[in-house]
Amino acid sequence: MFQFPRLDFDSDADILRRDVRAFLASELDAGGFTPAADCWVSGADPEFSRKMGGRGWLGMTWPREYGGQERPAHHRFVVTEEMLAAGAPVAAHWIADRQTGSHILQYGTEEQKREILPRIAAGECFTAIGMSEPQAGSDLAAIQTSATRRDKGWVLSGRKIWSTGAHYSHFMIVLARTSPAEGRNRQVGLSQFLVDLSLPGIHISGIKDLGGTPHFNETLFENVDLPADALLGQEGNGWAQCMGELALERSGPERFLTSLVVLEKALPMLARHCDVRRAAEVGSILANLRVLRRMSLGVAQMLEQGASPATAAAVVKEMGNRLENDIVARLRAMLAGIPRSEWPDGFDALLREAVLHLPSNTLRGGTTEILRGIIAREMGMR
Amino acid sequence: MDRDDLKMITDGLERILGDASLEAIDKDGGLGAGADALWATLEENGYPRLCASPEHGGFGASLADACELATIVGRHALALPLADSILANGLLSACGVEPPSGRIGLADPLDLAAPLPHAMQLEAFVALDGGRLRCVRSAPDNVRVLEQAEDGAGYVTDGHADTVHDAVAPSWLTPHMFQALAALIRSASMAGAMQAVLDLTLSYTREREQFGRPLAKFQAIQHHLSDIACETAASIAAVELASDALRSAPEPNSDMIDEIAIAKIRCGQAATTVAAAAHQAHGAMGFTREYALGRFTRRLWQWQDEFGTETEWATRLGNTILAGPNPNLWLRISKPI
Repeated sequence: MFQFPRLDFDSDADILRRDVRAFLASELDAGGFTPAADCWVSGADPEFSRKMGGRGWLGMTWPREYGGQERPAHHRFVVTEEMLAAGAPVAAHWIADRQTGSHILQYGTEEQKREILPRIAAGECFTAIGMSEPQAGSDLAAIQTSATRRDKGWVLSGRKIWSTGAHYSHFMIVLARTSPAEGRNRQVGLSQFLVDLSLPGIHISGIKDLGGTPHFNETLFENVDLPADALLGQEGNGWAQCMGELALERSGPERFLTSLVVLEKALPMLARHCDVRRAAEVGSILANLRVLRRMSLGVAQMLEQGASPATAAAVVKEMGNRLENDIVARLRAMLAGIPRSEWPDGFDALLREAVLHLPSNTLRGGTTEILRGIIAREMGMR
Repeated sequence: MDRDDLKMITDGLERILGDASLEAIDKDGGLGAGADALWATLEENGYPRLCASPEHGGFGASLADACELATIVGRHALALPLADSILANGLLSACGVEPPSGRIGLADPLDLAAPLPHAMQLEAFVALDGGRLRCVRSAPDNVRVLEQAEDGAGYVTDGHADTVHDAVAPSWLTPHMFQALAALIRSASMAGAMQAVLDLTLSYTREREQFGRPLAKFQAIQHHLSDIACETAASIAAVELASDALRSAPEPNSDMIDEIAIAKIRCGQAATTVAAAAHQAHGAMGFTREYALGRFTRRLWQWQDEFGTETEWATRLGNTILAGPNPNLWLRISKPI
């Protein structure tokens, strides 16, 4: 019932993969970064993002006139999965490259595309997501942020929360109510706005996560004057646009590759202590990751063909998130019996970081419960 | 075989199995007149010789194509050794032997003490040892049935078994490859059975009402169904991955064994989750011999044990990673087919 079409890498993708691996190896040699778990959320390094931009590895699928490379979607998949597997600091540009840019390309004005997309592709412009609010998490349609027309533009008021990277971002796509709900149908009357975060009346305050990293934020919009063209896409179409954004957000390799770097670091040590139990765990993890990657590639293929595979994306995220947490639990079990004195340098901190990030896997981008609900609805249960 | 031909063959099998009284055949352990009639129909239409070469009266289909038929076998919880015979006959034909008619089984060359699947139903089985593929005649009199097992699985007790064919196996047909190919058709059948379990559980929970509403409206039940759907989707993807690997070269090679390992591991794991969730959603009804769910879950549990359990395969696969000089998972996860 859920189809995941096969995606074949072309020969350019193979060349690209070699280039990316060579780049990562030289950056690692030069001490350019320290591999980290959850690197796409907490590993922000604008300098690294600029280097990637300089190599043409951001906005890869966009038209050349907007700074893109007009490459197929699976080339972007190659770059992102290699970066994640290496634990590279890709957080700064992640959201802009993954969803905001595509959204601007689809719904933005010509001027926005010419002004913003080349900067994102260069690794010089970062963006944040403005969906959740203090009173509206899983129940996204309950948002209270509003945008009202004034003169030729809009006035934005409200509060967004959990916006990863808002403190270093230049733009945020904000979901706001532009007209009242129609009875119980709250999904109408919502619109998306492309908000320049340097405008007056915007206050961004950092929130430390469980591990103490201030990666996400609360953003307050106090009667912010927006120009007319800040409206992204159609007025009242915000819900549908948001769901399209979430399909891009949910199915990528970041949903199953963030813990791998920790296991990879332990692998030589596990090999020295190889026994049936450890071999079975490693074999099982490999099987699960390889199959999930295949499914994720299938969604990438559907997205490339212009579909919006929201349910298939939910399946990938649901299974990927559970696997991420499973990998860390199994790794801890495999460590039993190995003296800590044998742990490689930095492994302790890496493992603890992965543990402290566990809860967010099954929360951000749609909780496990919400995803299961989406899958159940697809099967006609709701 | 091109897609259109294969589609015609799979559609035909769906029709034949759709028309047959599979539950009655199941109750007879695949041994009665109904089973014989169904097998005769399958043979008339050439299904057991799907992978035999045309000069041996077959369709010359690939072993990857056999997966699609094995999936259908699982979706119908067919009690008969169709998938086994397709593989057995394909292997015989690859050794230059014209396959005999009748139901042919597969003896696991890596686990000689394992029960022979479908043993009671077989006319013969194929066994691989010392680089030779043997086709050995079998009869119910010489079988000790495995209690509580499906489809007449058991142990062949006759020490003087009658070898009807004995041929040199091609170099690619190692004991590991034999077991892997058998594991792959079991994986495909598990994926098919899980699709059926998903459909059954969906329709049951939509119809059955408790507390004044259908079970399907309860969030806790929806989450069970979501788990079943996800695991089923992963199983289908895992089998496709292994089939693609088989299609990537004209002859099976050892790289393919790792991809098949992944399929057996993933489908075996999924079978446990899917069976547990489906039974939980069905309540006591699913625990009866009468109700259809058991036809699928009993086979899922048996198939996950046949030709290497998920843990045995995972141990072997894990060893290939951990035994190398520079152990690395990512290179293996991202390896092109």
